[in-house]
Amino acid sequence: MTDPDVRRLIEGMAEQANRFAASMQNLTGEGADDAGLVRATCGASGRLVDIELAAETRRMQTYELREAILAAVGRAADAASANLADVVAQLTQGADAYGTDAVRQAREQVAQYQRLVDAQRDKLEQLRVNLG
Amino acid sequence: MGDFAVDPDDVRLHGRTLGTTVADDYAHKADEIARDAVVEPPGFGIALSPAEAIYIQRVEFLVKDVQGAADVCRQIGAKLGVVADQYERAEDLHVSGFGGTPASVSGFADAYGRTGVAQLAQDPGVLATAAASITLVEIGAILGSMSACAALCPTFIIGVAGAVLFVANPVGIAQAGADLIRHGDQLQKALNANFDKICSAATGTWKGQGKDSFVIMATKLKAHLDELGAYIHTLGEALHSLEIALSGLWLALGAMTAPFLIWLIAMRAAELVPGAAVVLEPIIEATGAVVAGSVTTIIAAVASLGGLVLAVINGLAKDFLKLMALPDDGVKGTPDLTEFHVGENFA
Repeated sequence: MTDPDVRRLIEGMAEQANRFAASMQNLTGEGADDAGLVRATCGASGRLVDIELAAETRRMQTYELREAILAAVGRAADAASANLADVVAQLTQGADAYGTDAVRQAREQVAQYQRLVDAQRDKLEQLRVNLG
Repeated sequence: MGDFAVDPDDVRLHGRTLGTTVADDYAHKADEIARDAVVEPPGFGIALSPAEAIYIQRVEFLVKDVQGAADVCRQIGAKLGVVADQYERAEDLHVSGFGGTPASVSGFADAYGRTGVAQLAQDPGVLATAAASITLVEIGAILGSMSACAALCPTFIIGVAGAVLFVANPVGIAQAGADLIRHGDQLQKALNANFDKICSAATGTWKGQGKDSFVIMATKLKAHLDELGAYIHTLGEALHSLEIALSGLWLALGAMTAPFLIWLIAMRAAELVPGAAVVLEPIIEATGAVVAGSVTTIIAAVASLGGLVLAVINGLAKDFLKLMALPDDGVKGTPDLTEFHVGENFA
């Protein structure tokens, strides 16, 4: 019963979804403090996955190090979120990549159906006129 | 009484044709309309059930009208038989008045019996069962896809709830519509034309006031029968429009639901990646709301059209039975031939 075109569409969607999921796993964002002594890497969820401390940080006071780490991690999380947004934008707006766009398709169907209903409405109005 | 001339056998012959062949054609047509107008469940669907109720009522009236046409033809056939007998009886009186031997003449009961009135047995129980399963299966599949969409995206539930109200039987509606258009055309172009032809033939050798009254009555009746055929045709056209709207509705729903469902599945799969759900969820809900809005928009359109269909069907109201009834002020419904002015001395 599955139409070949529908099957190809489903297979294309599945492939895109798998690729998207894989890219999400590798998706990270990096950030550093103002001095560049602390470099952090966050995953798509904002989870800290890596942090690098320069040798100079050994001479920093603990409160200074704290501020640097917080700044670096915060920027890394922001970068990861921005990267994620880019990927999602590709996913949701890449109509060509998916062969279709659900929202655009829905709006096209509404316009097409409205034309169909208008034609039938004209016909029914004529029938009413003919009935007198 | 004016000048008249008549061939009683000719009048009787055509009266018999009207009372049997033509009347039976109308009776069979009534049976066919009653059978073919049936739309199997789910019919017009829940939302359009008021229109379906009016439709069923109108079909019943129109079927009775066509059956009434058959009855009227039988009555006319019987009356023409009596007319022929009356003319013959007059001639026999003249024959016997001059010492001749009058021919035996049958009474009204015989004349009425020859019209086939005893063949009124109908078989209304033969109602066809429309095989509309294919489209209903397709509708079921689309509704299943929509339900899956709603499961993946709760904001789409409103779209499913609206669509359920329009689960109908488009194939059955289309078939009934096509049949009614065909029956309406056949009534006008075949049965009514045949009625007109036989009535004209019945007056071919007939001259006088009785013939003139008969022609006036037959002309009026033919006009009502043509209008009745036009009503049945219009009812079929209304069903045709409804079927186009309902089929278009489900085709549109299917066209927008399939890619949306696939998109939803892909998005939900992507959400399995840690952290993605937070970003994707608002997108999914927003998209679901837009698609559900599209569904409700086209549902509103078909509901509006359904109202117009109801108005058209509701407008097909005319008391054809009363219009077609022959004047009859005889005893217990027995035609007394006053409308034909044959002559009171021979009744």
